Amino acid sequence: MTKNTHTNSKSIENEGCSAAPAVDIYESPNEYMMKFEIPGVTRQDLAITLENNELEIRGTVDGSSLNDYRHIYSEYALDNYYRKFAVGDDIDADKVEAKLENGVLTLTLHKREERKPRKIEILTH
Amino acid sequence: MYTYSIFNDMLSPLDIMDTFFFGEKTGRNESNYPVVNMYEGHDTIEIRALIPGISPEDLNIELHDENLILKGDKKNDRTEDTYLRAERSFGSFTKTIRLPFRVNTETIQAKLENGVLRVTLEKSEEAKPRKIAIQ
Repeated sequence: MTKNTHTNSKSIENEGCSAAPAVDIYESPNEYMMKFEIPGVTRQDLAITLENNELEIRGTVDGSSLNDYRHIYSEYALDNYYRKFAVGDDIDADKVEAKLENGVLTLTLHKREERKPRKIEILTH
Repeated sequence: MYTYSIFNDMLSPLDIMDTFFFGEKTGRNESNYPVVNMYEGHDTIEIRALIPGISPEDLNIELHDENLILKGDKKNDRTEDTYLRAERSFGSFTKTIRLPFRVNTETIQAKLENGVLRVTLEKSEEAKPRKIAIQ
């Protein structure tokens, strides 16, 4: 899973500018866990889709509240976020969990039952 | 399982360009963490810092004269599981931001929302714009 198909900071598929958020990905016997850093994105402005073995994360940043302000010093530009991954067919699409906390999105992708590693019982006579 | 590829460590043309134009460290310059923007309103200054993964209790904001100091600790949330990608970084940081004006020390407000810290400072009376009456 998780072959990265899109790491460019500029996205062609997404309208306007977008940045690829940093991610940590872990694999355990039962699940994959992904942690994205997407500061500035609210729950409503986040879209996560898993379709045709492609996982897409889209986050929109709303900068409208600063219209009356003058930008006087800048170290970052808050673009929208976009990142796409190719995932294997070992993921149960119905059991994806998402949690957004302090600008970090945690996705838990459970592996399908039949694909989990299992212990083989040894029969003795 | 993490697979190491020798290509990860090879110099890319982009790295060479970055080094040429911006010096050794670009992109994830840890000493510059966290990145901040500053905005000026009529009577206020707003500073925004991107600090995803940091909870309010792990963050300290101090004002020393015209310097706003952000001190914090981004706690490592890595698990024991094998990782396929590890792009996020952790650790403690101190960042000093020099303010362009003296500010009113009584009215500083800080808000941490969705990983973005917003510190709103009011200009001190001397720094506020004032209209001069023509006699």
